[in-house]
Amino acid sequence: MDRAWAWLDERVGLEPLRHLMAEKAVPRHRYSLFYYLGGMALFLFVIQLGTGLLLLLYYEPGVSTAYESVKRISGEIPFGWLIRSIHRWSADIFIGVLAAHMFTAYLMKAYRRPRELTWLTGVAAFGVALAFGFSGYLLPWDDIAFFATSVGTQVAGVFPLVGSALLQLMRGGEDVTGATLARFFALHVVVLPFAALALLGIHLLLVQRHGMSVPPGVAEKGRPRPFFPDFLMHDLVGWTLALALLAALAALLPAGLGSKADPFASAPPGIKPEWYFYAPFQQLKMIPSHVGPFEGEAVGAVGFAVLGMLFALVPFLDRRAARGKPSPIFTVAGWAVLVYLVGLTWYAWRH
Amino acid sequence: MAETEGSTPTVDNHSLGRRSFLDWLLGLSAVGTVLAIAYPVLHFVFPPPRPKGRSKGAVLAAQTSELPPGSGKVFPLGTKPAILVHTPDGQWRAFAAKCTHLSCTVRYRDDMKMIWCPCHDGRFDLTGKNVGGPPPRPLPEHAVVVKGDEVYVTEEAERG
Amino acid sequence: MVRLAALIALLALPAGARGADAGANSCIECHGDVLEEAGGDVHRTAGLSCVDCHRGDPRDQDPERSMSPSRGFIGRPRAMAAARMCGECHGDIERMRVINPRLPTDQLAQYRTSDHGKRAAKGDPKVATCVSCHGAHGVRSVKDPASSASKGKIVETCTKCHNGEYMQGRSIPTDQLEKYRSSVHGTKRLQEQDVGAPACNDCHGNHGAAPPGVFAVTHVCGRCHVTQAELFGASSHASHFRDLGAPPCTTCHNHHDIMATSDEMLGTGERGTCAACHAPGDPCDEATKRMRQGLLRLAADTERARNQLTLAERVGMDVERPTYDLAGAADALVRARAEIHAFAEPRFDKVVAEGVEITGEVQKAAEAKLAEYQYRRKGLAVAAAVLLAFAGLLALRARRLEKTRIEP
Repeated sequence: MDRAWAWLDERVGLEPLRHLMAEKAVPRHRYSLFYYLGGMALFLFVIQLGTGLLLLLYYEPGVSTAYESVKRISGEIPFGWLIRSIHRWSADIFIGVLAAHMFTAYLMKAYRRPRELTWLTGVAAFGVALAFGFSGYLLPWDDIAFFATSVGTQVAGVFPLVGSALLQLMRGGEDVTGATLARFFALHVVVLPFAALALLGIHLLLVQRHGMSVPPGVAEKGRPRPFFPDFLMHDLVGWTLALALLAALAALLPAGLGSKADPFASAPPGIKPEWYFYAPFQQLKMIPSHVGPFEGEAVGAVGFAVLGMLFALVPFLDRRAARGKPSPIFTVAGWAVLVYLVGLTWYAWRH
Repeated sequence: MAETEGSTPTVDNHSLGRRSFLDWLLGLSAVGTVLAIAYPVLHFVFPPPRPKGRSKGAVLAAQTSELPPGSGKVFPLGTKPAILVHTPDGQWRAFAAKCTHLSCTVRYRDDMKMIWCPCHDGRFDLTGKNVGGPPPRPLPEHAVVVKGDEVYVTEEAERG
Repeated sequence: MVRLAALIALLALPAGARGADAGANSCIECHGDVLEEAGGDVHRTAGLSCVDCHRGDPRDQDPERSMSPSRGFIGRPRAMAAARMCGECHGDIERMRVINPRLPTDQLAQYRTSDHGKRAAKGDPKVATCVSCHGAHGVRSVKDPASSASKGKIVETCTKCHNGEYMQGRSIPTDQLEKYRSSVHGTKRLQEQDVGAPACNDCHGNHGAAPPGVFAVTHVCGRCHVTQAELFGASSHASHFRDLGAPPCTTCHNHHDIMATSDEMLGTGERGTCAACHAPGDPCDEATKRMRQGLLRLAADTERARNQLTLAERVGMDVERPTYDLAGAADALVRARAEIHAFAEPRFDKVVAEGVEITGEVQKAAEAKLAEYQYRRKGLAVAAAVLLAFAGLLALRARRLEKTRIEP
């Protein structure tokens, strides 16, 4: 083992790694449980990469082959049902964990100086994750996927000024067609993975550089726990349990497949996007058709965009946190937004 | 190595024994975990024998030798019946075989040179058009590809 | 005589005057409402006008002269006169060929043979003539859904006269509409607008309409219900019915009130149609009991296989192929019910056996899918156990590690 280390060290230079393994430690306090969320999200992302790569061995994009290849994976390829169902379930859980990671980081003010870039890359990565979900959803090319994509891209079209250009860019034309499938596939399999790896790479490098942030005003309990091997072992326990959960979900609640997409059929009533888009979707449905002189839907879309921007820019808005002081206003605002989004999501789910 | 005050060598040995047993179990379960992951992945990755009759959204409907000109065959296309007709003038044509009247399964009648529905004497010509009886719409057509001595029919219906 | 003179006068008129437009037409000054009614009338579109049917003199403002019989005027013709008015053009192939060569020209000849025609010839003022069904001034092609003789409206048109009120005092039955409405054909045609279902004229004919005669109508039934007609015709019952003077089809199924069939019609039970000739317990009756059992069994087996498939599908298994195969069993059930008309138990049993074989196979396939699901659950249990053991042992090891740090 030591010989291998020396060999590699001579060629690559492993001092930074050795330093990290020896020194990296995770603070202990009443909220330190939330530190596990980042690692869990990373694990689930790796699962997505792995199962996604495996699916790529058999998936054939294109209107006359996509659906059939997914059917084949589910029904004929040995354990194809397992890989596909894990990919499907892990996508949902990954986004949920990522949202939790983001919100706990927000509420713990982890975004404050000097971690602004960590925060920005993180928020961008969350956007990338949502794009992953949206683009991947279309790939089986069944009727549900087709109509959910139609509805979703149509919402993009309500943005003022750029709306119709944005819609055409997403759809590869006026309607959802094979062109849409082609570019969603390219997005899902090439563009977004590159973006994710770049953002994630920067994000993780910065985390190693700055170490874990402790919320302002929170007392530490005892010495920080060493990352290697203590915290990592705990991480591993969580990851193993997550894997067991994914296997159970895959076996007991496998991913379904509707009938093949038919562009000429009419949309089934009550069509909805994936659950992580419920909140904006529901809000747009509830907005009156006109707000003052503006179109209601445009106001809703812009509203959400503005909310997202403010959220991303919070490190530069929260002056108190930047000085290391507790900022209750931002805490309350964060909870308010969380309750609002969760409430809308729950409402959309029930109706 | 932990040592609690007042511990006796016997307790030490027990703890030692239990610890290495647990470590051994840990190692075993680690191997088991790796196997539990590797087993399905390896089976997935090595391609299964491709069942005959499926290629890119098309279904093997018949061998050319099965259907001389002036004959037809009903076969499954997905969950629905479809009909493959080798017309008297040598063309291969395929249609959905559900009659557009009340969904009975149609068949080819060489004596009539038409596709016929036995339920209420509905008739379709060899382009699928409804030409007699109650059916209100033509039969949707499916593309046919002849590869060597095999006749494939695509699952997607053509939109005229 | 007057009419002949009018005809000559008409033919002698220059063509322009014949197809006189509204400007030179004195008729519409008083009868303007008729013009409105005409609308998309086919005769009007073809350039014909009042004078082409009613004769008279449209250039004359004085109604005494313009509507005088001496000018050939025909007012409102009744009975055969009405038919002849239309038939003058529509019965003349030379004339019609120039206008619409595909229209038949035998309507008047057919009409004369029909019950309507025969009564018209006797001068019955209430009998249907051309205009009763096609209209007088708003005539459209029968393919046009607005035409009262179109498939969508023909039942309404026939029953305008064939009802209790209009037919009062006559011996003809007037319960046809009521019976038809309750029938399976009537429900399909009137409620679902399925023009594949027969209405009055499909069995009685159009211009040569007459009650077909109970034996004749069964040929009509066989035009759509080919299978049943052929099976019956070749069966032992064909000659028996003939000898008894009982018409095929309608003896068991009625004619205006043909109800949806049910398996209970087979045999001598309460709704059994065989009871008319067969005694309960005779060899044929016993055969029908067995046949009904066969049908019940096939229906039950199909249902059971379908439920199994639904279960398999609900737990996420792919049941596409067995679902397709099961349709063959449903098919066999329909074919078995048609096969009853052959009145031959061995043939019937063969069809039922085919269906039962299919349900058996589908049942097996469904069970295989469910077994595969169970296999997955067992595999999951094993994998989960290994993973949980690993996680648990790892947690213990981590705790042990922690302790050694805290107690150095």
